[in-house]
Amino acid sequence: MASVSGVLARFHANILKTRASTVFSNLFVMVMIVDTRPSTVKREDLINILKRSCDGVGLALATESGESYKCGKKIIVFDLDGTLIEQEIIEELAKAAGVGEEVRRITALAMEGRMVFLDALKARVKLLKGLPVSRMEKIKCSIKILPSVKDLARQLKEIGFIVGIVTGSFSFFADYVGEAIGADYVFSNRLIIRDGVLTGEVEGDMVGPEAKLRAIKRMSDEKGVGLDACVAVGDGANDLFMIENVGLGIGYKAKLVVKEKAPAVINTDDLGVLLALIGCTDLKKDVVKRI
Amino acid sequence: MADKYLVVMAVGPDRPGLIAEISSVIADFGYNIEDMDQVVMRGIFILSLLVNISSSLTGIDRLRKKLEYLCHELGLEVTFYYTGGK
Repeated sequence: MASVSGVLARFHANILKTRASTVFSNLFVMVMIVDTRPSTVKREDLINILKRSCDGVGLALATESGESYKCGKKIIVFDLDGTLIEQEIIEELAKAAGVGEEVRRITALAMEGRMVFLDALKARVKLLKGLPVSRMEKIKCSIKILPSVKDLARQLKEIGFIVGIVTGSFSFFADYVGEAIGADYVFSNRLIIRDGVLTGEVEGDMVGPEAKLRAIKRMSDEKGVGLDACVAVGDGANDLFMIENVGLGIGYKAKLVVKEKAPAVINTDDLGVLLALIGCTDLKKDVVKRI
Repeated sequence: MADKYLVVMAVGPDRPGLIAEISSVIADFGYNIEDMDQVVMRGIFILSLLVNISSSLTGIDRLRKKLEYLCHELGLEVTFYYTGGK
């Protein structure tokens, strides 16, 4: 509390309202409404300094415009690889196809934002040509979905969230995870299989950074809400576009480029923090009343 | 045994830095703020804090003095209230 309010004071941002409590599932949760107009530094810079100061004391941080905060969140989408599951599926596929090294190199470039995502995807899928479906089945069986992930999805659905998976990974695996966690939507890339092996191509429109946001837009249109009511959670550069364009974009176990730019960052493995960050607390109701 | 708490209430003209100064004094004493409510009404800063003092009851008087001194400097009125007995 001292470090966060200290940063705000140092740059003359004015705290209009604070609610803080430790009662929410043993987490310390603090909600502040801050007037950034008197701030001596730009808003983005202030947020970045806050992020660093929170990171230093082990706090996750979410920042949102007042308008977006007031708007109740209805939809939440997750990236798959590295976010909902530990594995990077494409790397597992590459290992099975004997092209691990080459694919890992391209993945790293794409995740750090140094190569266009869709180009990187095409190049990697091409390398997978000839991989038998039986090997893919094996990889599917090895996917570990943490109990905490299933719990979180269940809790989110209980409180009325539409849950989606929006991933550049592949439907063969994403649909499986989607079913396991009870996701309402899964948007992913479809690998073409012919005669029991991969052809090295992807079917139809590919899911890249822009398509991820389009998928969220589709969900929100169907639900009849705006992007302000949407939460996006991801770790890589291809998630940044959706993270920066929804009401609340969260970097979870994020790569550096996401950590720097996401308006919210969770720096622990504890997904329970997420419920607090998206405002599923009584504190939020209390604060919203007084904005 | 139930935890003991000190409730700190401070009121006065708002300006940036009030929460930072007050909460850092409490942190320096090693106490935890478990609940907090703060609002600015027409330029008046109103703060209430719930401080868990179970860890050390002996430091309380010094903390109170320090907060009284600080709030005086900041132009705030401060009052204290104990829960769970002193």
